[in-house]
Amino acid sequence: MIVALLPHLVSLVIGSLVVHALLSSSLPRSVWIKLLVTLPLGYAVGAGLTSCLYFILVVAGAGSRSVLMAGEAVLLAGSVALFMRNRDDETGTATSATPLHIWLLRGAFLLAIAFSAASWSAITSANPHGDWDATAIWNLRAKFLISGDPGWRLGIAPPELGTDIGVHHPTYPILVSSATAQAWTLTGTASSEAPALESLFFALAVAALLAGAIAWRHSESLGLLAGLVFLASGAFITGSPAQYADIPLSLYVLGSLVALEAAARDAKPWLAVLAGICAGFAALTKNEGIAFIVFFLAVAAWRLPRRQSLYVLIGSAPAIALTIVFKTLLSKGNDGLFPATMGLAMQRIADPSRWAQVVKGYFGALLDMGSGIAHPLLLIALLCIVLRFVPAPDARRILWHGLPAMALLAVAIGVYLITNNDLQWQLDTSVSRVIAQAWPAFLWMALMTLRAPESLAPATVAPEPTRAAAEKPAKRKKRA
Amino acid sequence: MLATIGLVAVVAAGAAAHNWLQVEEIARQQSDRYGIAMAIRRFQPVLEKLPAGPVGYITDVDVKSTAGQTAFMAAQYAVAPAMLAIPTDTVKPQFAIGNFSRPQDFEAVGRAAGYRMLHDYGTGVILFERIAR
Repeated sequence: MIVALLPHLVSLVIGSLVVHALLSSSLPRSVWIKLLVTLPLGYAVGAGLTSCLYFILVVAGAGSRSVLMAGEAVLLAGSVALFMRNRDDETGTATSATPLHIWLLRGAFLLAIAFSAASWSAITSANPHGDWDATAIWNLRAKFLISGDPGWRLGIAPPELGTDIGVHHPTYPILVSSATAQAWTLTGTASSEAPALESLFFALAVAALLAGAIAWRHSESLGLLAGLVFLASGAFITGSPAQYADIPLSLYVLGSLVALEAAARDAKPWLAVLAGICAGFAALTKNEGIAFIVFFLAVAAWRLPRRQSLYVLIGSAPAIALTIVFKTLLSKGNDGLFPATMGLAMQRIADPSRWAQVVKGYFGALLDMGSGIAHPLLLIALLCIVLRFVPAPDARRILWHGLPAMALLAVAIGVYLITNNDLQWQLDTSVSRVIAQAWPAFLWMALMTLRAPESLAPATVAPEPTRAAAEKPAKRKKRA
Repeated sequence: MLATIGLVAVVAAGAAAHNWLQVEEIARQQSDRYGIAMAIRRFQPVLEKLPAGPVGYITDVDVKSTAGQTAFMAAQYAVAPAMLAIPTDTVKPQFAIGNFSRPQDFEAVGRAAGYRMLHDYGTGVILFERIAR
């Protein structure tokens, strides 16, 4: 287990250094919030970078352990250099005292993390290789990737034999499979621990980023409540030990929206680059991520100044390029998901019974996310009633930035309507995962639009300013 | 307001604890649900004989059935980077593996599919080679 942990720690360190350098002066002084933002985004970026590096090496015929180690050493050195260049010189800790209710919420959040990790451990111990798609698609392709040439080609472009074969969905984006393969290559063994830990890291990163992002941009208590509601829902429990790509996608979706909103408010180019990097990795994670990035870039172009949206494009460009190369030049296969003619597609779209079935499927999956008074939607509704909403312009700003995640759900509805597969089977096997992809982003949107408890209770302390904001008066004084 | 926040936090943390207790029980009942760990153990001895390419798959379980699909998927995961393919009149990879649910005349089953038996590894795992025409 310790050995299987190492590749993920390397990814975490590389990514965290890069993210810290990109966010640098935007982060708050609180070490707790800093960690909640930097570490999950760091794992997202680090896992994406090392996954891309490994896949490129495999395609170039240089996917050996030693070359990969050298490549990751270069990545590490580059991230250290970036970190040193944009180092946060702040050595002091938070100046204001942390209120008691925040400490209690932090305790509850850590407790929920511990329970969720215990759930992951119980399921993973029973089924260490994950659920069906993990062994049929994601981890299977990782096994092909580590086999070198010509094995890796079979996993993403199997020959057309005209009979049933064991490789399915070879054209699905490669990030998760390649991340697993790079961990296996570094450790020298295709153990079940490496992909299992990868899925745990991604899920914990979602919970932490959700809490950290809202704490960073709005209110720490709301952030911790968002993290708690996420951990209470079934998304973590079913998604993480399954070792599918849905939780990683949800992390990239959430990361890109958080960074986009921050870039729009703070006008910092590096935030826009980070938003682009996360969105690019979303496209390289799942087909739904490709739909997401189209809407994401459109919203970025619309909501950000031209220069900022250019930075988003620059950040996402490498992963988009790799996705295009993978989809058009390297992978081969037809999922047979879509109808052959436009007429057939329109016929299915016009069928009201399919709409009813899809709506029922979505409602059923939403209801299944929790039970009784612990249902996440009920908890959110309670918070909405008690805290009420931020002023309309602020709420609208958040909702516009969250639009790409909601578009992801809309695109999925379209796919369900026209799919060639048996619709009920398709809904039963995937709708809860589709919701899980957008669920953290939805929670982020919902709680960002609520008024901060700190602003309502006079006895509590207002959220800390970011370092940049704290520096402004000092600079003004200096100029004077 | 703080009471509501506290209530939401307690209920959410409680739900996470409740989920844990529930999955503990479910996990106990569904250990190695798709037989992946077992397939990895069973096919381990044959791995070094298989090429990184198409390999035939011969079985006594209907591959269209749920049990057959599960066994096929588990076997594929265990033998990758060999790529399993169901032999047909036109598709006959040089080697094939047998994945059988019960003892039978493996030689005869293989011959009917155009293969001769090379080795019986026990536990229903057989290595076949295509019969030259």
